[in-house]
Amino acid sequence: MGGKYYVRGLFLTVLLLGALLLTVACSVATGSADISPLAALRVMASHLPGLSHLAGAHQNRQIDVIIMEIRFPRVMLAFFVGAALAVAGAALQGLLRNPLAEPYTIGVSAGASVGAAVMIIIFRHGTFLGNAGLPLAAFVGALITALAVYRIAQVDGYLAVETLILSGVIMNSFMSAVLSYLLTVAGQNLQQIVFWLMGNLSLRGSEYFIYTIPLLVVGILAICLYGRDLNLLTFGDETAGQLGLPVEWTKGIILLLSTLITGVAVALAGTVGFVGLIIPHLVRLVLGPDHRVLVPVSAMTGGIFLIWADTLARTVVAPVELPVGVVTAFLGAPFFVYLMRTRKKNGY
Amino acid sequence: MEIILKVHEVECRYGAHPVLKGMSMEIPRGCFLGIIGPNAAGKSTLLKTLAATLKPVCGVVYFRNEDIARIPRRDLAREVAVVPQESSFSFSFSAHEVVLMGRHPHQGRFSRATLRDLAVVRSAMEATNCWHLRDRSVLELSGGERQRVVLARALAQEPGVILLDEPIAHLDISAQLEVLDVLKEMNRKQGLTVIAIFHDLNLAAQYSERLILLHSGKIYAAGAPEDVLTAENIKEVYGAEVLVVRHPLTGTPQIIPLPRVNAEPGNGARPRLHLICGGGTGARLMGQLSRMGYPVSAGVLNINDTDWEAARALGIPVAEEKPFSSISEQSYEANLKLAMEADAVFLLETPFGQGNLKNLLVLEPLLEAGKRCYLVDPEHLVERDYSGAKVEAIAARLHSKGLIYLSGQEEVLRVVEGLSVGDGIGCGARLS
Repeated sequence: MGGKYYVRGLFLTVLLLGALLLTVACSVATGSADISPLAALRVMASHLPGLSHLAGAHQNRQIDVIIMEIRFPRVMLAFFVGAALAVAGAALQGLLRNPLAEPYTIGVSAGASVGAAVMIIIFRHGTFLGNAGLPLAAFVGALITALAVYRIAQVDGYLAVETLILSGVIMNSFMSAVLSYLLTVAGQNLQQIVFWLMGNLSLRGSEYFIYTIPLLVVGILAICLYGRDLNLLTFGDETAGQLGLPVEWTKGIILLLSTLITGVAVALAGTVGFVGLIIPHLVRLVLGPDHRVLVPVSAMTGGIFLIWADTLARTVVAPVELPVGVVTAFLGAPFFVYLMRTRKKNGY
Repeated sequence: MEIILKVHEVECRYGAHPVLKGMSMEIPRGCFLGIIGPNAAGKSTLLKTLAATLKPVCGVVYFRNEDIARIPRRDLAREVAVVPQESSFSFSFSAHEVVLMGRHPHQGRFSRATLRDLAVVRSAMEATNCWHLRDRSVLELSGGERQRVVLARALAQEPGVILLDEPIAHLDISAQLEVLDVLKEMNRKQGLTVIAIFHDLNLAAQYSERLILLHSGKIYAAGAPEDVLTAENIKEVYGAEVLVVRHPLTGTPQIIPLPRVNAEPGNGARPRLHLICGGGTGARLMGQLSRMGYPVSAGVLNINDTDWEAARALGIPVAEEKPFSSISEQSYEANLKLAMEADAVFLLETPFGQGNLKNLLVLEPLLEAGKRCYLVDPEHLVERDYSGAKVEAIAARLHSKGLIYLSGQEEVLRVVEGLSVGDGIGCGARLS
């Protein structure tokens, strides 16, 4: 059994890395400037240490700029946002033992939206934070809301899963009301807010994205390490405790990490929907519910999925760009319906 | 003997509602302890307290002289495993994956399942007869199969103590015995301490060395099954009328529920009835009549005879004889004396041999004294005659002296209803 396990793990790793490479190459090559995927790969590889000879003397400086400064950062942003949302979704579905849970269940998206809307309306002339103001406001909004959700759900130091979902719903509707109010008074800023709400990977320059990568990477890897703990938590808090898990502490850590990476993702890309909901489902459908596999594979799949979605978003009606949230929802909703219809009898 | 779990003055509450009210007890290592009691007596709460899943409001649970609340969960999970009453599974794990999770307390964060882990899992699944289910999804398993998988998961923890909350509640009888036999064997061979809540009192008595009977948050009785499972205790705690007999093979106490009869306390005294029976012919009638409120006596019964057991369980006076012995002059006289005190005497469908012929002959002096005597089912008397004597002829002679024939035991009930105190005398006069 051990051997089988390793073979499968190796196969999955190779498969997913290959898919990622292919996806990145295709996505980077796609756009108004005509570049082949192979050429795109060669340009990117030439920037790796020790591979600069690949660039060749004839390498076009303009193509190099397009790829390395415009398209590649955006693809990376899409990858990490997708990975973070999918991981948070997988973790929360297991933790809350609820297939409808997603990163936004705990109020993160509503909070981030309000934070962003406040920033756009009140500080429309900019703050000393410059371009970093908007993502920062969204992140703060997300954190405050999530903390409020936990605070409401916690009774006598015990965080009940059912109460957590409920308080998430409550906070979400409360924040939606606040957002509706803000939208009403937004005036000329309305379009900008709505565009942000639909999720978009083009708004943020790469300058602060760089600083958030370590946060996302650490968060994702840490959750991956909690795979077995998540497996135990699916049995319910009591049983998990009786199997040797310090339940409240573990739940706290996983919630904190999920909130953190979701908050960063939302701050960077707005509320991109459906990735956190359907990617874990898809992976579970194929590979089973073991979170030690589910979480890392969801990360890769979510990242790859969002790269494709973003590539579609910026090409289908070019030169106009669709918000990426529109594409994910467009692909995600029918797929989710399909899953529901076929898997209902077997549980999830 | 080493005390493995000690409950000291434990009180538990759900909100303001007290569930355990100052409970103390000691559980020796290697014990098979059954916890019984009616619904809401606090059984599950006690079990959760022992598992450190529930923290008592006051009082302490000690595991090997250490406050159980201070033991890290991982360390405790290597010592104490729990099988809950019901397990909910939200995700489609295979049975093997579920049992493997029982190895969690033995594994580090970065370690994978070792060969030893897999071997332990396999033997746990084989012991609980679910190895063949290993690749099936737990969501597809039946209640009984699922319960065995959960039991295997608990055994995979390699605990010294296993706590079970009605482990067999949803199983059919063969699966119940299978699970209990596994536990009993691990208890005997490996010294596993088993603490289980039972709904079925008979299985509790049969498998447990010691029983604890809980009643509204307190220990009502504790000790060996025969000391705990008495008709009085059951009546007091469960409010149910039962008969306590002994298991024919194991000798453990067994509970037989008694059907409710409309026993009007009656206006004034009820007529005394004397049953002459044996071999199980009188037990049912004895129970029925005494629960209807009639003073009943019986005789002559051999000790350990089914009817004798029933009479003893009901606490009615009996003229008794040593096991497998013929009726002696002494017990004959005792029988006659009891019968003379009754208002009516019934000879039931007991078979006759040389040993108990006196149970028929005793009717003669009774009839002569004018006692009202009945013989049930005279038609098949010949088939029941193993005495070599002409039982039928004797019966016919007694019939002429006033013995009344009844076709069956239903007739007895009808006759009894028509009786009144003092009917016993003067029946001969009525016949003449």
